[in-house]
Amino acid sequence: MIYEKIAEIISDKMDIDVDDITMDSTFESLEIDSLDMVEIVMDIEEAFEVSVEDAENLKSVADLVKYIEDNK
Amino acid sequence: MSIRIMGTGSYLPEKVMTNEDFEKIIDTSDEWITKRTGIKRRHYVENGMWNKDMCVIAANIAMKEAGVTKDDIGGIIVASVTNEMGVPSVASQIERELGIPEAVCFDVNSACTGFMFALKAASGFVKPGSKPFLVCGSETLSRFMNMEDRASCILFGDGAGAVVIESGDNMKYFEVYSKPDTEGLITINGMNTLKDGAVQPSYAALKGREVYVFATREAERVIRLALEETGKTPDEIDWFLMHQSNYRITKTIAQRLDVSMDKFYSNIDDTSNTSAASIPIALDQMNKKGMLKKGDTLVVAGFGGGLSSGCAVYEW
Repeated sequence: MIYEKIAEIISDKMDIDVDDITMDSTFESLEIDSLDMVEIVMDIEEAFEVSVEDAENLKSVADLVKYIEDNK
Repeated sequence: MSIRIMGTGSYLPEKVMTNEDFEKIIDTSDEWITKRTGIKRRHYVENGMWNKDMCVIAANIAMKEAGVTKDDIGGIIVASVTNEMGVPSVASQIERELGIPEAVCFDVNSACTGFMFALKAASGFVKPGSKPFLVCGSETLSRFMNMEDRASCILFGDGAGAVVIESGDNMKYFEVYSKPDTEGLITINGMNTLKDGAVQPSYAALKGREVYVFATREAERVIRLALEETGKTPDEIDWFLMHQSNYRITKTIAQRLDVSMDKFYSNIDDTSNTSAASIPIALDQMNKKGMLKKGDTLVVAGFGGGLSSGCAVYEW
């Protein structure tokens, strides 16, 4: 559920097919730059009602899913 | 008190600093800057030009359009964080330059939202039958760039904008806000001489990620409040004029409001962020380009250091 929502947010923001996003996708491979990441994190904070600290340390979809699981 | 804008004016210095110019002095590229900010160039003062000089040029254009002369002006309020003098205020310097014998003159420092605070203050002075006020936003931020910080030095430029206002009923809604910048997101060191006479550099510094989040969320918040209070939907708004900080911030605000970018004016490619000057410069450009038709509804929103923000709904 967390993964699906994150994939949907990234897909919307980056205008890429949700099927092209996998748990193993790195943000670099999805061509997500630092400002895209800020925007994605804002949407994720609002969707999951969490505050994401040190977002620069998150490098992949799996990192993000784990962060939400641990902090939700 | 509600107001009517009688005339607008603006000035951008002739000297241009392009992204390619920055490639020669710092580790950056036109592609990197453009992708992250939308900025292609910025204007820098030279030959000893001060805020007052830019304001006088912009003010003369605005006064001419308004059909008033210096003798008609009852007050001058300037929004700026870069006055070349501690005293007198930029407003008082303009009063002297224009040769106005007596007017209410003072400056406002509310960073990038400064022009909105100045306009709000001026609204309290102009009453039916009283003299028009000149309200300016002006910055010489090029003097405060840390040219060794590639993240910030590319973001800011110089310029001035001015409006002449009188009492009227065109301002339909106008609110400004301030909340403490507890994390030090946006700063420029103050007087750059310490008590012992040593000089410390005075640089603009910002925490990019946090500023981005504040700007987009705050602009969305104040605009939604304004729409709610005026009972308007985004469809009924002809133009959205944001403080020109970063093209991607403007784009994100548009996305969050679910409004087409076609309704958002942007000149950031040419001006970069001119802080308090950005809104009156953009407003004058829209006016001079004939984009604003009588009866058009504008939503103007500012956000910046302080932390400060504001939103106005104005019928052209």
